[in-house]
Amino acid sequence: MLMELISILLLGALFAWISESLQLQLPKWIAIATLLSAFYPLRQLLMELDTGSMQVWLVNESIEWIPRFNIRFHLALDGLSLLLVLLTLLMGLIAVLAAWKEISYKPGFFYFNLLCSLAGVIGGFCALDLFLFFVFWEVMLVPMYLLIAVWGYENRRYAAMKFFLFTQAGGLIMLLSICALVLLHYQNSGEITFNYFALMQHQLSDQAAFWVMLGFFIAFVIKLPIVPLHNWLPDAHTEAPTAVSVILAAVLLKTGGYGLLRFVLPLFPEASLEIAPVVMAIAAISIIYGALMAFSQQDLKRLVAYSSVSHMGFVLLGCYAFTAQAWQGAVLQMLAHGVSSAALFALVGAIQYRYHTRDLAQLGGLWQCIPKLSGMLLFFVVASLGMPGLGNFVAEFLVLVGSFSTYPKLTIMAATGLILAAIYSLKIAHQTLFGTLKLQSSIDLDRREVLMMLSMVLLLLWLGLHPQPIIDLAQQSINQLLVGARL
Amino acid sequence: MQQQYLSQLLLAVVLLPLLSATLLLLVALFSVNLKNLWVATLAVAAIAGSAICVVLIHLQLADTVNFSFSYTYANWLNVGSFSAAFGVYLDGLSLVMISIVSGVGFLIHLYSVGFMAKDQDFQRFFIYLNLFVAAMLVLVLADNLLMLFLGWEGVGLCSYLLIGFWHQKHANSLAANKAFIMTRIGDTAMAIALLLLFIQLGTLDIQLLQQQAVQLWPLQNSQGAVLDSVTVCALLLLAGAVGKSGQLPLQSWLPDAMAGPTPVSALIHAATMVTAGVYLVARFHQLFSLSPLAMQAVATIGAITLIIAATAALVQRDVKRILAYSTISQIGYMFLALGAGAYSAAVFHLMTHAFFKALLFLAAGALIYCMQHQHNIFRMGGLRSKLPLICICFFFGCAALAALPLMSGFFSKELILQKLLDKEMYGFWLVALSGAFITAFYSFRLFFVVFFGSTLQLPDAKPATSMKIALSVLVLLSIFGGIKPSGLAAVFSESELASDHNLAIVLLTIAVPLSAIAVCWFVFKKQLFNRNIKSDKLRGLHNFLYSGWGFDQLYNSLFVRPFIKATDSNKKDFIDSFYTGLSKLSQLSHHYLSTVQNGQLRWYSASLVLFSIAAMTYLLTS
Repeated sequence: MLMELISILLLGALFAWISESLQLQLPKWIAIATLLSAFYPLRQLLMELDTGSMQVWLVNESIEWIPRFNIRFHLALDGLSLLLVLLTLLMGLIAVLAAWKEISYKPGFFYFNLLCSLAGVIGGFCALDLFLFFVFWEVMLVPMYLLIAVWGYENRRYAAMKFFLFTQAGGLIMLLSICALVLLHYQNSGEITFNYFALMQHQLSDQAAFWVMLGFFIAFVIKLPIVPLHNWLPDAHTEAPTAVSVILAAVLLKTGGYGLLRFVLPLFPEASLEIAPVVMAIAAISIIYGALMAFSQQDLKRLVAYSSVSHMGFVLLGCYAFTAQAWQGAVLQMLAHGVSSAALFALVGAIQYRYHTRDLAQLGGLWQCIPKLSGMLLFFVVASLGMPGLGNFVAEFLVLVGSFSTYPKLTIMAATGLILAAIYSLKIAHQTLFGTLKLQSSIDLDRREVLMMLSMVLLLLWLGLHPQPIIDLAQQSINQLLVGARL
Repeated sequence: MQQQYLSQLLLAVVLLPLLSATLLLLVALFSVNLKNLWVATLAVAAIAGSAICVVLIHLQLADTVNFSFSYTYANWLNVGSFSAAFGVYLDGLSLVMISIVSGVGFLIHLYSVGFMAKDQDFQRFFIYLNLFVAAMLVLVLADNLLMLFLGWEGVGLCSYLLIGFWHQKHANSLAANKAFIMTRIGDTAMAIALLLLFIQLGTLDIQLLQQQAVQLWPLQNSQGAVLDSVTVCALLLLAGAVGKSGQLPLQSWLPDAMAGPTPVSALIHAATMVTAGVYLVARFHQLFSLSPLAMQAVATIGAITLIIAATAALVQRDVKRILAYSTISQIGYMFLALGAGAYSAAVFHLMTHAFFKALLFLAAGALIYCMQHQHNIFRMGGLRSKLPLICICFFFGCAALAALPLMSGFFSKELILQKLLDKEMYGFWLVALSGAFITAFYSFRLFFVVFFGSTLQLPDAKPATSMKIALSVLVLLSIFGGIKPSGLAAVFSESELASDHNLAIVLLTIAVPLSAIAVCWFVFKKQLFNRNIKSDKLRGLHNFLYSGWGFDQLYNSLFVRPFIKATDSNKKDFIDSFYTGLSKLSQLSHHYLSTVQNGQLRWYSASLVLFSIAAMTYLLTS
């Protein structure tokens, strides 16, 4: 069913591209249809979720691919993957809706790239063969590069190149680590395999484990991103078209957090535990540095981008606290931030579409002419500052609860991020929504946009008020982590 | 049976305003136009429904003296050992609180129908106001700290939204930001307290947590007071309370919060939300009682804030700012009482204060409404005969605030003073007594200046009927509301026995405000208020007091400006310069290396020879 899922996306991508020559409006409808039908293979799984007893792996598919190196097309789904796959599909829909009117230049090729990168992300979330994972890692990268480089704003070439170089550098380091890991395993057991489970069983010497782990770690924290490896993000976000910003923030960053939870922690539990104090410190610094940078920005998109750096610091903090609460918090933070940042970028895109500027100095008083958009923006601003009752709060609070017992000082440091989050978030509201009206435009959100935003509002409320189903779904994956770390 | 009935009533109390807010919000979102009348009916009816449910709860519990009721509606989140649920806890304390919130809340909703009638954003106003009441009810009913925090932040958000309600004005939005961020500082401390309490005690259930604290952390004597766990937890909670309740050092947001519509000032920034800090300390009285140091801190903060705010109120010209400083000062009284261990006295004063301060704010709102948005009291005068109802309201409000005998405020303030004497805290008693003098002075300064003397400006409007009704009810409450709720003493396990009232002391507490009023009348007659101050020193003092003891300037130069400057200096992100440097470096090396590839044979042969020599030297020497 996972192969079907990915093939649907890739086929849809091809159709969208071809259909461009028939009619320019067609690709976006094909994209919507593709994303909706992508839920079809998952239907049975989703229906049975509440009733059936939960195993760790809900789906497990594996076929031979490159027999010479024993590389298999091995896709599997556990609770964690399922949550992220669903997030990807939902936010994919949001991205297409956000691009609805904005993209007129070569729409077919645009949606082709969009769907391809989504396919890559979903493949990444499901791949249990390390080589396959690497392939998907690259599959999401190249279309993303094109999306920024072709449809971006003024400085798009620079931003796209920067994005590509950062991620590619990480990818190559990871490839090196994968090869090293496989070779070490081969020396030990005489068998070449890229299989996740086989490699997990393998005991590395401490030093080897550290270096191999570092390769994975760097690749993933570049994606997350974490200070000081974050510099590609503000540029990429600022220059990317709205839909791409949505995908980037909602989904692509999550592959970093996913990678940490899926590969780094289970494959190298001892080495991870060893570097945990350093990583926790880096995460706390990331939270604070990102928030401070966000506050100083004049470009609305840059501001939101830096706030992502700050919020993703909580994911890293949660990953390395080695407690069930913190890991649950990290997973929830990925989902909640996925939704809230997607909404923020979509709204900033909507503002840019109407006023042709993202400069805070030129915006102001929007509430007076477009109250619906303003109300929505205010809601997501409030969500991002961690209002209880919304997903982001539950996530951040769980991370803090989970981290506090082992790292009290760093946790308190991270908690000051809550104050800073209020400061930069309210700056957004203050500078764009309130005060005197500077630019006139009276096109408020239309039905499509209201529904799109409302669905995200409901998602965040759900995550904030009734997160238990999600916690239960992720619990099995987190139990595996606990077992792996022998806690 | 009774359990179920109570739980349903409590659910209705919270959900009614929430549903009304949601409904009004959705209606607005889908561009359905609703007449103001419908909006008002829905919003007011929701709160009225809440209030009726509270009355029913009272009836149900009328016979029981010492009751506590808890009920869990749904699970919220459950991860490993951490769990939190949506549950309520009702005892004498929370019953008093929900009565105030729904009762005063209802009156203020009713008042707002008239007050906001001409406002364009009528609907938005009532959405926020309903939402606020719901959040406040969650706060006071929560049985665990996480849910309390939900309400806590919820009321903070509504306060932010309502302070900045008239968002076209830049200053209002700034005031809203200031309020939110300053309280957020306290809230973050409180969040850390949550973490600490959970780690130490393994639960966030408020009652369970305190029982465990009592067992785990034995009481220490004040001599050896150190920063042990219980003190740290109590102080962190106190930081949250201080932020919300506008106490030192996080008090300076409250005067600016007056930028919001006046009913908001009455409901949020006088009667309910700002007293949440008092509620928090009272709710955690077992925990606080374990730490003499924390109790000392509560009392000291209360005493200092009381004096600072009262003296600042002496010189304000804006009627709302006078009342705002007065609120800070009165909450100082409550903190002082809490710190002295007189919890029920504090909550009693919270209640009477809710009545008379809501009355004063609403009356001030009516005054402003009738006087073309005039806030400055020195532009008014002689309004006694022009606005008789408002004059009566102000008289009784001020009388209760000044604690004149037989007014509601008298009983609660007298009780606080009495308790301070009982606990032999004479220094604090002296502070409270001098505070009482200043309070009476500034409240009657306001009253005399506005309603006596010569008429300067004529009113051009009459208060609407709904405003008159709300005001009349509040006048009655301010006069006769001085009956201490019977359930309180049981909650705090205080003895009901009244301590012997020393007649001399009682007479003193009566005489102090009366003498203050006499002095005030004298000063007013001599027309000494609003005089140009000649002496430099005196003017300096006046400006110092007028600015609320210069806290804004202090914080601006200490925190705000350095913060902006520091973040501004790194606008471009210095880390990025490393990467741009890297790309510059590779471009530069590209440039130099490509000049070598110039296609000239002699370059190539020369470099070949040079390389061979170098290689051979290396091989031979190594």
